[in-house]
Amino acid sequence: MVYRAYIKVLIILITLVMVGVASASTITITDKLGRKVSLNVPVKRAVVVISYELIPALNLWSQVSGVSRWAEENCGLYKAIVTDNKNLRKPLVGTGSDVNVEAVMKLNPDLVITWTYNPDTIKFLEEKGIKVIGMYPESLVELYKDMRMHGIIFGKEKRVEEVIREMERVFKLITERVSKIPVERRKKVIHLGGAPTRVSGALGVTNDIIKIAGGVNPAETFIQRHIDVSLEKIVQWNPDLIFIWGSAGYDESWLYNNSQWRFIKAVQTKQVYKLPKWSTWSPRLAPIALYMAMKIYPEVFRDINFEKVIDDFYKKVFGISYYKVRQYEGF
Amino acid sequence: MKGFRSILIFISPVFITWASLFLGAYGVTPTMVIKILLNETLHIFDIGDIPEKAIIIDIRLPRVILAGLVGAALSSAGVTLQGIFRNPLVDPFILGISAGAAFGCAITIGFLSFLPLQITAFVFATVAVMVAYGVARTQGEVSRLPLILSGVIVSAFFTAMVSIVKFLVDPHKLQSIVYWLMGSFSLADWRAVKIAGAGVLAGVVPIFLMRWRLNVMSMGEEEAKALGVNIRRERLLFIGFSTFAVAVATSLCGIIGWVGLMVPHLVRMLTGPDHKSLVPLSIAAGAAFMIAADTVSRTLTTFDIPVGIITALTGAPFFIYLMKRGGKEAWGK
Repeated sequence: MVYRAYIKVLIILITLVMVGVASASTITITDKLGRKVSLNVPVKRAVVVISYELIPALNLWSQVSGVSRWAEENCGLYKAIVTDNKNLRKPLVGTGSDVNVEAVMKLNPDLVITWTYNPDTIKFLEEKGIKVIGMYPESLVELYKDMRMHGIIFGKEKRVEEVIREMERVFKLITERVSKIPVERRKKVIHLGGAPTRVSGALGVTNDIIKIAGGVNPAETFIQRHIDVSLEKIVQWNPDLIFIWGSAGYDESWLYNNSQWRFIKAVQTKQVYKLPKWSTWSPRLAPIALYMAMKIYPEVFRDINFEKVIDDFYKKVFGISYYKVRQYEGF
Repeated sequence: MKGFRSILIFISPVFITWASLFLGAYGVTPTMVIKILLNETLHIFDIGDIPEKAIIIDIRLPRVILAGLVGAALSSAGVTLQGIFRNPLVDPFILGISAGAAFGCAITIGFLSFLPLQITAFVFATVAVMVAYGVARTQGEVSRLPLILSGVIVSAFFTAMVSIVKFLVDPHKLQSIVYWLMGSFSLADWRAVKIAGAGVLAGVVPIFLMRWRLNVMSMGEEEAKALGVNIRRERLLFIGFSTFAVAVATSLCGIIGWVGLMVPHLVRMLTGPDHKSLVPLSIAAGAAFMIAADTVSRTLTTFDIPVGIITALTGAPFFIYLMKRGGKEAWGK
C-alpha cells in the first residue's frame, strides 16, 4: 500500500518536471549579421535597444528589463504609456548607437536585441558573455520576419500574428484602392532623409511602403538604403510628391522657400509633406503607409477618416489611443 | 617653363569653371548653357524662366563659385600657415578651426537649432584658434612649436566635445551632424556664395597683399627679427586672416581636408617657394582644384560622392609623384 503511494507520488513529480521542461526550450536564431544565437525561450529578461515599439505591441513589459534612451526621448508611444504607468518604465542602457555595456551587464539580461549599426558593439557584448541579436530590416518582408522573431523569442507567436494581421488590414485598405489606378497615372514619389538631397533608395522599408501606396520611386535604381544625389538629379526626376523623413531638421517650408527647387512639380503644387515622427521598424509602418497613400491619391481615400482608422489601429495593436500618443508627439 | 606653368595655374580656375558649367546630372546642351549665360549677363536670347536656366544659374553656378571660393580660402590659409610655421605638414585646420567649427555645427543641430548654423560654426572656429593662440602665449611671446601643440590640444578638446554632443543627441540629429561633417557643396546657393565671397575676400586679400612678408618669416625667427620684422604682430595678422577665411568657408560647406595641405605643395613644386608668386598661384590652384574635385564628385556617378574623398583620391597620388620628382628643392632647401 505504502509502496503504491510512493509510486504515485513519483509519477506525479516526474510529470511536473516534464511539463516544466517542455514549457522552456532552446532555439537557434540567425540574426541579420548571419550570427547563430542559441536561446532558451521564452526569454525572461531582455534589453531592447531599437525595437521598443514592439514592447507595447506584444505586451513584453514583464520580459524586458531595459531599453535604450531613444525609447524615452524619441518614441512618443513609449513615453505615453510609461508616463501613465510609471511602474512600466525601464532602466536605460545608453543610446541606440552607443550602448552602455556596464548598464547592460548590471541588468543581467538573457538577451540584448539591438540593430546592426555598430557590429563592434555586438561583438563586444558577446565577448562579455551576453547574448545579442542584431536586426536591420531592409524590407517589409524582413520587418515581419524580425517581428516574428520577437514573437518566438518572447513566446508571443500568436500575438505577433494578430499584430501583423492588423498591419495587413491597413495595407489591404490601401492596395485595394490604389491597384485600380492605371500604371500610367501612378505618381512619382521621393523620400528625403536627414538632408534635402539624401533620398531613400531601393533598400529599406520606405521604398516598400511607397510601392504599397502606389507610388513610383525614381531613386529605386540605387540599390542602397539612402543615397546623396545632386539637386540637379532631383530636378531631373521632377517628382509629383516629396515626403520628408519625420525626424529631419527641415520641413516643407524649406523647400517651398528655396528658389532652387521651384521647377520641381511637387514644390510647384505644394505636395511636399513631412511624415509623422514614427518608427518605421514597428507596426506603425502601416499607418505611415496610409498617410502617404492618402496624400498621393487623395481622390481614392475621400471616404476614409485617417485619424479614426489610426486610432482603431493603435487601440488594437498598442492598447492606447492615438490621440493620447499624439500629445507626446505633436503630429 | 616656370613662367608658362605659372600662367597656366593662374588661369586654370577660369577654364575649369567654364567646363564645370557644362557638366551635371541634368542634361543641358552646350548651346543652351551658352545662351543662358549670355542671357543672364548680357540680356540677349530671351529664354524665359525655364528649368535649364534654374539648373545653370541657381544650382550649378553658385555651387561652382562656392567651391572655388572655399578652395581658394583653404589653400591660401595652407600656404600662409606652412610659411609661418616653416612646417610642410601644417594644414589650415592645425589650430583647431575644423574641430571648433564641427563643435559649433554639432551644438547648433543638437540643441540650439534656432541659431544659424553658419554663425555658430564660424564663432566656435574662431574661438578655437583664439584659445590655441592664448594657450601658446608665454610671457607675451608665441613660438611656433607651442602654437602647433596648443592647436593639437584644442582640436582634441573640441573633437571630444563633438563626441559628447553626438552621444547626447537623438539619432536623427546625429545623422544631420555626421552629414555636415563630411563636407559637401550639394546645398550651395547664392546666399552661401555671398557670405563666402565677403568672408573669403576679407581673409584672402590681406594675405595676398602681405605675401612677400612670408618670405621673410619663412627664413626663421632670428633672421626675421634681424631684418626688423615684428614676428609677433605679423604672425598674429596672418593667423587672424587665415582663420577668418577658413572659418567662413568651413561654416558653409563642412570640413574638406587635404586641399589646404596639398595644393600649396603642388604649386611650390611646380613654380618654386617664393611667396610673392606662391600665394596667388596657390589661391588660383586651390580654387581650380576644388571646383574640379566637386565637379567629379557630382558627375562621376549618378549620386554625389563626398568631395573630401575626391580631393584625397586625386590629389594624393599626384602629390606623391611630384614629391618623388621634386624632392627637397620644392621646399626651397
